[in-house]
Amino acid sequence: MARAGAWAIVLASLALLATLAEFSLRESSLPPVRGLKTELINGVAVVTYVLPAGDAWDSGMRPGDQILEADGGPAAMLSEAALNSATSFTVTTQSGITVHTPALENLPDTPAKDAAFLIIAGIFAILGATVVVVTDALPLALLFFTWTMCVAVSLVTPLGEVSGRTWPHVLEEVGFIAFGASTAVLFFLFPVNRSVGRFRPFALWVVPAWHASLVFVYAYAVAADSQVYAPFQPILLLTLAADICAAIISVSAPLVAAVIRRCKPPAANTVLLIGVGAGLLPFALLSLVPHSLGFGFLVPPDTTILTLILLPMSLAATMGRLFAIRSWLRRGLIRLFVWTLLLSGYGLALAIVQGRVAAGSTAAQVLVSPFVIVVAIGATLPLLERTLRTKLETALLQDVYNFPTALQRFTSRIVDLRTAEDIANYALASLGETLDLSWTALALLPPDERIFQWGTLPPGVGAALLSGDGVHAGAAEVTELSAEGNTVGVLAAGQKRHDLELQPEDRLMMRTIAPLLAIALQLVRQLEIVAARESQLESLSQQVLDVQEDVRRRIALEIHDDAMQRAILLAREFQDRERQPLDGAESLIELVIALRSVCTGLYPTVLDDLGLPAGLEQLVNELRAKTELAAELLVDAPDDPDFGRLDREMELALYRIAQESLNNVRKHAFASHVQVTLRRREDTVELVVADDGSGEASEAALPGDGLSGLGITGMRHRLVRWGGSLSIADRAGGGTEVRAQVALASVA
Amino acid sequence: MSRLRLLIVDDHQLLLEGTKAALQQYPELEVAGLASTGREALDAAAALQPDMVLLDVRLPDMSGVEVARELRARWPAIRIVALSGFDDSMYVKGLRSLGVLACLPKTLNTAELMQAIREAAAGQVPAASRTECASTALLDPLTARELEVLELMGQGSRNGDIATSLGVSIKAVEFHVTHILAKLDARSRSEAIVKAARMLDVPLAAGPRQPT
Repeated sequence: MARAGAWAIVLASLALLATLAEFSLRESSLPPVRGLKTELINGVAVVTYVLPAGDAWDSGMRPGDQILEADGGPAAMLSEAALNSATSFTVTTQSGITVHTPALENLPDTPAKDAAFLIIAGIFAILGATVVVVTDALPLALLFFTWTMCVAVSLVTPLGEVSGRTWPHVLEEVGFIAFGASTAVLFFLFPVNRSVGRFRPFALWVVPAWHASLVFVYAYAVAADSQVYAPFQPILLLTLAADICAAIISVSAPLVAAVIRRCKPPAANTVLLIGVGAGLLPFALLSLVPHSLGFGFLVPPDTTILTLILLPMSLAATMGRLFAIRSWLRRGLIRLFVWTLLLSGYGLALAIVQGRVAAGSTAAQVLVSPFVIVVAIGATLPLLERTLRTKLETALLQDVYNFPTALQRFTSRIVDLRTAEDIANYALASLGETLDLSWTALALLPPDERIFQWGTLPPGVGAALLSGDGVHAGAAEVTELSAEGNTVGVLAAGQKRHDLELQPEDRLMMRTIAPLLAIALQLVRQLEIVAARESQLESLSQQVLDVQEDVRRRIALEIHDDAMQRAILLAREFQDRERQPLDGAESLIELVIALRSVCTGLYPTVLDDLGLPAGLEQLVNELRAKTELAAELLVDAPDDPDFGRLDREMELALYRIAQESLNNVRKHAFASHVQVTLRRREDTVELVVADDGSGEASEAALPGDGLSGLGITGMRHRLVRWGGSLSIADRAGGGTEVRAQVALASVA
Repeated sequence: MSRLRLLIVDDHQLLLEGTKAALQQYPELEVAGLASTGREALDAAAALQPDMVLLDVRLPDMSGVEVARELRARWPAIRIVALSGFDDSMYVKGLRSLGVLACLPKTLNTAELMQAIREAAAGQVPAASRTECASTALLDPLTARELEVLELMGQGSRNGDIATSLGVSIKAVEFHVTHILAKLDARSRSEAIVKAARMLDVPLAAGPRQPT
C-alpha cells in the first residue's frame, strides 16, 4: 500500500516535472518581454510595475521611473507592448538621475545549457525518486524527494524565464524559496546529527512558516506592488544563504564535536560535508552572497548551481544505512559523486581561467590552450579519481555492517551448530558476506587437516595455510584459532571486493570472532573424539564378547571332542572287563559327567545343534536340578510350531540373557517360581524371564554379576548389534521381569 | 538269518575304532562302515544301505538329530540307535520326537550296548542295561544312580549333601537331578519327588521308610 503510494507520488511528480520542462522549453522560443507596466503621465511613460527579478528589474528599472527613451527613440510614443519588447532604455529614476540601462538581450540560452540544466534537474528528480522507491524509511525519503524536486523545478523554470513572462519567474522564485526551506528542514531532520534534535520544532514550524511568509510577500510583490520586491530581495537571498549555512552547520557539527573530543568523526558526516560544501558553497559564496551584498555575481548562478548536484549524491551515498540502499547502488553513487565532483571542479577552474582570459591575462591564455588542458586533466584525473573514490569508499563502507549486531548474530548462530563442517562453513560465509570479502578460508590443523573455503580461493593458499604461511600466499589477514592453549586452525581472508583495502575494523572483527570459532571447533572436535571412542569401545566390547564366546566354544569342543571321549572310551573299557569291572569305572563316569558339565557351562552345544528353545529348556532343567525353584518354559511361536532357527549369534545372545537372568533369580530373588517365555512373531522375538521373588533381582542385575560379569549392561550390550531392547521391571504382584526384544527384520 | 549290517557314526576316531573293535566280536553283526561326520554318515547310508546306524548325537558338521531326521525321511527302514556322551536329555527329546526310541549313554559297556542293539533290531525300545526301575510308566527308566539321588532328594537333602553322601561331585548330582526331572517330566524337585513317590515307590521324605 505504502509502496504503491510511493510509486504514485513519484510518477506523478516526474510527469509534472517533465510537463514543466516541456512548457519551459517552449517558452524560450517566444519573443521576450520585459515585465513592465507603464502609464503615460504628462506625456511621460512612467513605470508602474516591474516584474520582480525580470530583465527590466535586473537592469535596475523600478516602479516610478520615467522612461525617456526606448531603443533610442522617445518612449512616450511607444505602446506598453512595444516598450516590453525594447532592448535598451534611458530612464530617469525617482531620485532624478538619468540612467542608460545596459542593452537587454536574450540571455545566452544555448541548447547545451538547456541540456545541462535539464539533465541535472533529471538527476535530482530521479535520485529522489529512487530513494523513495527503494527505501523503507518513507517519511524521510519523501522529504528528500521534495527537496530534490524543488531543486529540479528551480533548475527547469529558468529555461522558460528567458521569455520574461511571469509564470516561469514565479515558479522559479517559489521553487527557490521551497528549496531553501526544504534544505533547512531536511538537514535538521536528517539523522546525521543527534544534537539538532532539539531544534526539531524550530525546523518543523519556524522554518516553513518563515518561508511561507516569504512566498506571500513575493506573491504580493508580483501581483500588486513590485516596489515591495526591492527590500524583499536581499532578505530572500540571505534567507537562502542562511538555509544553506544551517544545513552545513548541522552536518559539520558532529565532525567539529568529534575533533574537539579527539575521536573519529562519523564517516557519513564527512561525506555529507564534502557534498554540502562542494554542492552549495560555490552557489552561496560565488553567486548568492556577493550579489546580495551588491558585488554582483562573481560567477553566474547558472554555473554555480551546477555543483549542487553533488549534494543529493552525497546524501544518497551516505543514506545506505538510513534508507537501506544496497551496497552496489551506494558504490555507483560514490563513483557518480566522485566524477561529478571532479568534473565540476575542473569546470569551475576553467570558467575562472576563462574569466581571466577575458580580463586579458597572458598566463591564463597559456593555461587555457587545449593542449595544456588535456594534459593537466589527463595527468590529474585518474589519480584524483582513484584516491578520492577509495577514500570515500573506505570511509563509507566501514558502516556497511554494524559491529555489535554482526557479532551478536554470529555468536547466537554458531552455538547451534554441531559439526566442524557446519561451523566452518557458516563462519566463513557470514564473515565473507558481512565484510564483503573476495574469499575466506579456514584450515583445520592436524589431526583433522581440512580446508574449508568461501568464495574462490587463490591457488596455493590452502596448502600455505596448512603449512602456516598464509600471509605470503596472498591472504590479507590470517588469524590463529586458539582455544585452551591449542591452535585448532587458522582463519584467513582475502581482500575486500572491488579493490578495497581490508579495514582495521574488519581485522578486528576477525580477531574478535577467532576465539569463539576456536572454542566452538575445539568443542566439536572433542565431541567427535568422544563419539569415535565410544563407538570404538562399543565395537571393541562386541569383539570381546565374540572372542569370549569363541574361546568358550573352542574350549568346550576341545574338552568334549577329546578329553571327554577318551574318558568315555576308558570308562567303557573298564566296564568291559567281563564280570569283574575295574574299580575306577564309576569314577570315570563321574569324570565324564564333570567334563560334560564343564562343557555345557562353557558353551551350550545344544543351542548350536537344536536351537534356542532347546537351549532354554536345558537352562530351565539345570535350574530345576540345582534349586528348589519351580521353573517353566513357554515357547510361543504361532507362525512356526517348530519355532525354527534364528541367527546363531542372536540365539546365543538371548540364551546368555536368559542364563544371566536365571542366575540373578537364583542368587538374589528369593523366588519360588520362575517363568521363561520365548515368543516369536513374524518380525520380533521376545524373551521374558519373570520371577515371583522379592524384586531384588532387578537391583542385583545392575552391578556386574554372574556369567557375563557385566549384569544388565552386559545383557543390553548383547542386543546392541540388532538394535534390540532390554527392560527390567518390577512385576505388579512382586518379583522381577526381564524382557528382551529383538526385531527380526533387522537381521540382514 | 543274515547278519545285521551296521554303520557306526562318531566324530571321535578313538571311540569309532574302539566301538568297531568291540562289536566285531559278535558274529551276528557286520560293521559295514564308519563315518565321522553327519555328511559322511548320510553318504555312507546311501551307499551301504545298512540295517542299523549307531549314531553319535554330537557331530562336527550337523547335529545327530538332523542326521536322524534325514535318515528317517530317506530310508525309514534303517533303524537308528543314538548314543550320547551324557549330552543330556535335550537330544534325547529331539530324537524321540523323530521316533528314535533307542537313545543310549555312550558309557554303556560292550555287552550292554550289544543287548540294546539286539533289542532295537527287534523293534523294541532297549531297556538299556539297568532295569532296576521296572516301572513302565516311564519311557526312559531311571538309572541306579538316579534312583539313589532321587531317594536322597526325597529325604530333603540338598545337592551338596547328596554329593557328599554318594561320594561324587556336586556337578554330577545336578546332572542326575536334571535327568530325573526330565524323565519324570517334573517342573521342580518337589514335583519330581511327589511323582516318584507315586509311580516308583521312592520314599517321600525322611523318617520311617515305607516298606517296599
